[in-house]
Amino acid sequence: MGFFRRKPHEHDLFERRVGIHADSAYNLARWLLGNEEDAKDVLQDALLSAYRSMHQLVSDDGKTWLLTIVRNRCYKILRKPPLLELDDAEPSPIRLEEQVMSSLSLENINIALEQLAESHREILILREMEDMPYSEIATVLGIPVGTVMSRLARARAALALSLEKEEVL
Amino acid sequence: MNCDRYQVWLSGYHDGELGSEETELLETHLKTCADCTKQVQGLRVLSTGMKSAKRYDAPAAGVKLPTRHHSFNFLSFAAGAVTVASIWLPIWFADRAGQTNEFVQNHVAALASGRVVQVVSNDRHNVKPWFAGKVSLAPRVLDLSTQGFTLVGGRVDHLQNLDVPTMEFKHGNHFLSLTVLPQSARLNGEQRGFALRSWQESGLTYVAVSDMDASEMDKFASLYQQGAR
Repeated sequence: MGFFRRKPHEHDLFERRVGIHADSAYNLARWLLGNEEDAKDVLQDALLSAYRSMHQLVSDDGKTWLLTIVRNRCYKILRKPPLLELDDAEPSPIRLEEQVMSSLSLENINIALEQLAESHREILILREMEDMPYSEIATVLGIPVGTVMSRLARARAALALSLEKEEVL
Repeated sequence: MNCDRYQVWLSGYHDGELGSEETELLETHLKTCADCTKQVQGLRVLSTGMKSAKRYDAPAAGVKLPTRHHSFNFLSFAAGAVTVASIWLPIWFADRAGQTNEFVQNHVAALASGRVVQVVSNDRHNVKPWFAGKVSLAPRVLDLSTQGFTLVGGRVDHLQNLDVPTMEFKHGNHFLSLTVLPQSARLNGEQRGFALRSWQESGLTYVAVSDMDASEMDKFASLYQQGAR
């Protein structure tokens, strides 16, 4: 029974370092996969996998760690790698007027976000919803920091374009 | 005015992630460019809009953290015994092994055995094919001898029931083991005087272990990753 008695301490540590980021992890999975069931499965799976290899978590980066696992699992379910060729396109200028935004409903923003390519959607979620610094985004996405900046620029241009279309409709 | 080259910078500037030199250049440009100034506002509007996008919270019921096992009740224990055993036993063993990091253990064991590598070669074109057939993944093998990290050879390490490829490098009198895993892992920091660095490359995780200084480890990790491009 030794290990049962030892567990509470490890549980607490896991919850403090990794478990508290479950909402962020679920939000990313939900936006990438588009449905509740798969997102729930991915989160459950990722938490268990993170727990099993918790001894590998040396520094205090439970959030990037959990999000990395969740993201990898999402792409496994989607059965396709993120579209990287999007990185080659020139980002178009963002011309969004305040009025455009205020004329949009929340529904419009959600729809516009859903219509983006996964690689644009995920980077916007990490930056705009999770407020993650570029260095952490780079870790989760497995790309250099410089690419984070350029991909974000493209993702924002794509979102602005998508919102403008929404407004016309 | 052609503002294309500022397009990417504007995003970094908006996030406060632009380097000081670039920031200075961009701010000078913004003073004279109404178009780019307008885009800075556009980015702000967009961020505000994103803040009101739907944020999904993990459902309270349905997703269980593997942390709720405080009360010990025989009936529930018996009922869940089969599933619990299949989940908890591997965790238990992983925990015990984790008390001393497996990467450090393998590194030390290889050095202690006097047989650091199973194939001796400073030619990456010999080391990579040697792994084929012995392990189920193909790591990227680089020789960084011109930068001071000489490829010594390769070996197969056993880790969490997997045979994984490890490349061995020498830097001065220090050895460095670079192990490649199929799953994602994050290992950065110090353990028992050994430094660990990890990064992801095309779906694989590279983990470097050595008794080198932290700064040397960082240098190796960044050189290796730069070699990827």
